[in-house]
Amino acid sequence: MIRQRKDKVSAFVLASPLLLFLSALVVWPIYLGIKTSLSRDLLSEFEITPAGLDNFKAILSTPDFWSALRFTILFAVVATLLEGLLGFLLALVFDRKFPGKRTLFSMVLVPIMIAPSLMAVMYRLILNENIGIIPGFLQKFGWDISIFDQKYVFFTLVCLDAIQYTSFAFLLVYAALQNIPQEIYESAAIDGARYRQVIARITIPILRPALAIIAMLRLIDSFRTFDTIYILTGGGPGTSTQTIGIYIYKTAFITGDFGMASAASVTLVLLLAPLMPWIIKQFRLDVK
Amino acid sequence: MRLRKLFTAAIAASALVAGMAIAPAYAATEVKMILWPGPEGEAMQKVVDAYNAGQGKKDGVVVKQVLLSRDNTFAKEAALMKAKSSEYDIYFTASYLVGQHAPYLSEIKGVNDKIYLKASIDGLKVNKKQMALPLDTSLHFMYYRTDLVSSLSSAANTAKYKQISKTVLGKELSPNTDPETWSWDDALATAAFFTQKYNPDSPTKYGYALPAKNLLYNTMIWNDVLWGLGGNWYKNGQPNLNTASGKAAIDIYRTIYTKELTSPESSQWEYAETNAALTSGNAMMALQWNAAYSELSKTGATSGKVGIAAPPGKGQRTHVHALAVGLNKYSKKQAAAQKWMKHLATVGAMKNYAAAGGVPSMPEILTTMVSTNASFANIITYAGKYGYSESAGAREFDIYAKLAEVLSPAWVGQKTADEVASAADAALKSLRK
Amino acid sequence: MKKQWWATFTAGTFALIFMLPLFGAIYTSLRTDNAIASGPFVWEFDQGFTHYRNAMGAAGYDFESFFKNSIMISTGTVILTTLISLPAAYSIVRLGFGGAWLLRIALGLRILPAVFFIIPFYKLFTNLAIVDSVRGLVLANTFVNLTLALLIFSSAIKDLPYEIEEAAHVDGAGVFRILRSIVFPLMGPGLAAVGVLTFIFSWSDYLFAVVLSSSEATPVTVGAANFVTSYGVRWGDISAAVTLSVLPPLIFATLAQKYLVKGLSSGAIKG
Repeated sequence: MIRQRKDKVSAFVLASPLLLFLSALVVWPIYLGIKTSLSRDLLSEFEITPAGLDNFKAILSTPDFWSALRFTILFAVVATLLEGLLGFLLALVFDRKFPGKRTLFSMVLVPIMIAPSLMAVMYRLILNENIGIIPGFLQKFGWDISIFDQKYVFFTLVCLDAIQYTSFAFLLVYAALQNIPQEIYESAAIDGARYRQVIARITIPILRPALAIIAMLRLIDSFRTFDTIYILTGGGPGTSTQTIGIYIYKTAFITGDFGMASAASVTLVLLLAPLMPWIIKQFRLDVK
Repeated sequence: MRLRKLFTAAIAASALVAGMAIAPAYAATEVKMILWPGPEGEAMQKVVDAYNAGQGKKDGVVVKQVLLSRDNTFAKEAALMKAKSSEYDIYFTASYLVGQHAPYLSEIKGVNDKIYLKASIDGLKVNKKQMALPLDTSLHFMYYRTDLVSSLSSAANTAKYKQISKTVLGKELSPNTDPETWSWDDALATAAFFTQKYNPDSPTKYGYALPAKNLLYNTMIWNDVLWGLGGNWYKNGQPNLNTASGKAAIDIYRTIYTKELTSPESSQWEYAETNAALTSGNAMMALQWNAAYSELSKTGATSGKVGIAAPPGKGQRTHVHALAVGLNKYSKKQAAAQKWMKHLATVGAMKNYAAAGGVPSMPEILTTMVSTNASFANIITYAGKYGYSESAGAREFDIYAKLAEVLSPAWVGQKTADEVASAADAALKSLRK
Repeated sequence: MKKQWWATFTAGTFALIFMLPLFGAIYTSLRTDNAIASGPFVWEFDQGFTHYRNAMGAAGYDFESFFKNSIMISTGTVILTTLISLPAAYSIVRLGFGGAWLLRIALGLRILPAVFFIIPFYKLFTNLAIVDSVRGLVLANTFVNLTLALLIFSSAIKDLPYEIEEAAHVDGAGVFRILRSIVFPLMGPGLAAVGVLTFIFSWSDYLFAVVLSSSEATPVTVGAANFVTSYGVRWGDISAAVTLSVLPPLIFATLAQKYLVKGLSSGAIKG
């Protein structure tokens, strides 16, 4: 009994830096943010007046919000699936000794080392039809396609996102792979199992919780996609490539309506909240 | 002995008191000013340095300039203003934002309007009060390849020109080799002539470089088309885009894109991409910002071959805006900042600005600098003759952005002018302040 | 065993594609402005390395200071994030503290767009007088990376075989002792993993840096953005800045590579 109480105290002490940080740095900003979402707060107006749920009602009835959300969900799901798959395959490739592994490992990680804001500028350059190397190469091979054409733009944006973030998924899957004891592979080999079977029957099941977490993390992050799309298309033409992140940014800094922007942010969290219990479950915290 | 000690003490004491009295006069107040990076910030640094070493010493003011990235300067200032920050004393603003910023700025008194370009100084007044001082003036030119336009006068080209204009525009036109007198028909026909789709012998792949990205700065350029055709955002206080002139303006852009006088990629082009199209030799004309002249006249295919004309049309037809600096209402150093602003509002100070590469909104200075940059002559003429701005109040910035969003699908042919014009009017109505 | 060249080839292809933006940056940074504006394959070598010189100190862009700030901010964030998350993760996983509740909050924080926090943070930091300071940006970046750190540490701790800790418990060791002498040494890899990812992500932060810094604490990401001007994008200069800015995280990651992998999985089971 005493041990249990002492444990509870220690638990609290260990978690106290986190709690301190959260209460000092997070509680007040969240309070302020929610207060803003319940106010009429525009840059062009000097006074901030309480507005109840007006902002929320406005957001829910704004078609732009929903179309941005729809686009973002589609984009996030497709991008996450692609990056998860590529990351998984790449991790499998790396999960062995081969010439040049160390160098290639670092090289593969390069995209996440470039700040997204700078990556967007680089994309803008290398994809430029007149002075960029990518269209330059494509034209040399006779492919005069317009990569930002309405038909292809979604595919283009997903590919750019994949180039930027597959490394992240790759890293996490690769690490999870290292956790599988060598003995399992060895006994499978003795039993005559072929590589494909090993992957399907052993690797993937063991990896399932990790893969779920990685997918969820990447999904959440891709909801915040902003820089690349904003710099390349501005969310356009019109609002055809506008993500929810761009919508919120524009509402805050161009329209100058901070009340609406905060309300949109809160709405986003509330809409995505139902996903969270499922993620937490992956941790199986009840099982020590 | 005691007397001498007393005497020494007295002198020391009075010296101390005197020193303390004089000291505040030497303790300089620091004034912090936000500016854009690039030529404007670099040029302003020279003005700041000169002031700090000279007049600033007399005023007891030291100015410190802080550069913020162009794309996010205004976003950051929005956050600062909302938070009623006193971190900076002078904000960077512009004619198209001064309406939104006005509640957070102090009026600048005692400015001599006459030394400035009229369009620039007036564009920074809100309710007749001067809320910011102009720095660089920006307007639009129709840039074109001089060698190509002059080649139109040959007999063979004239014949081809007539035939192409008939095909693409439905009317037969003769070449007009003086872009200063162009109508939009002339511009489109010339663009068509230099598009390889219609003229395989054209040295450029496309005739036109169209900035059709969903970006508020592109709306400013499109406005030139609107005004050149006699249109306007509002007429008698009512939105005026769902009209013949508004739709005609939308259709000009739509024609350029759908008839492939410009690259299909131009749906996400803005300033930098337009320049790239011209300097790479893949386009030969564009309605573009005056600042592009320095890059165009010295690089690539346009080097030494770029001409300047007013935007086509009649009447007032180029957007004009001024970049500016305004005084933060919440600054704790109003007096010091006012002194600096007073210095900035003189020709002498801005001469340093121009010498360092800036383009001050002062006719006196611009005329003397024409030899360094030929486009300065055009700035003075055009700003006076053709310059115009909508001055639509506090939500002006927002209107540009909203129009870009609503109109860009029509610009690139995804929708028709009819389909977007009423949405445009709705936006103009709701954002009118 | 036969060398698996097919793996080299496949991994190499991926690496090539992923490094395209950086190759583009390096290529551009070595050309003259005239060449860059004329076309993708026009090659005119910039003999004076002007772009790199500009990126390192032209016209008042104090890149030395930017780099110093970035390094201090990233390193500080790594330290603070670890100090906060590791004990908390242990508390959550082994001692059942808060549990799902705390993780739910962490995840919720990650969903909220940064814009939501910009003004509140600015006001808060102004009140605490830490605006435009490295300290302030460390706090802001720690906030951003907490969730990831908590998740990685929690996962790593869960993977440790409980038997070792249980044995120590039975022997009478207190929680702190166990954490210090048993868990922490085994967390070497986990620490490296959180370290590298946190370093990389705080190195890349832009939005918080723009709003919360002005002249003293400006990091490289904001500094490089200065090359996007209203007279044109200085492609050459910004390419040079990007190339230079990749070096510290690259070095960091290469050195930590060995630990990085074992880290996220904490292979204590492997023989």
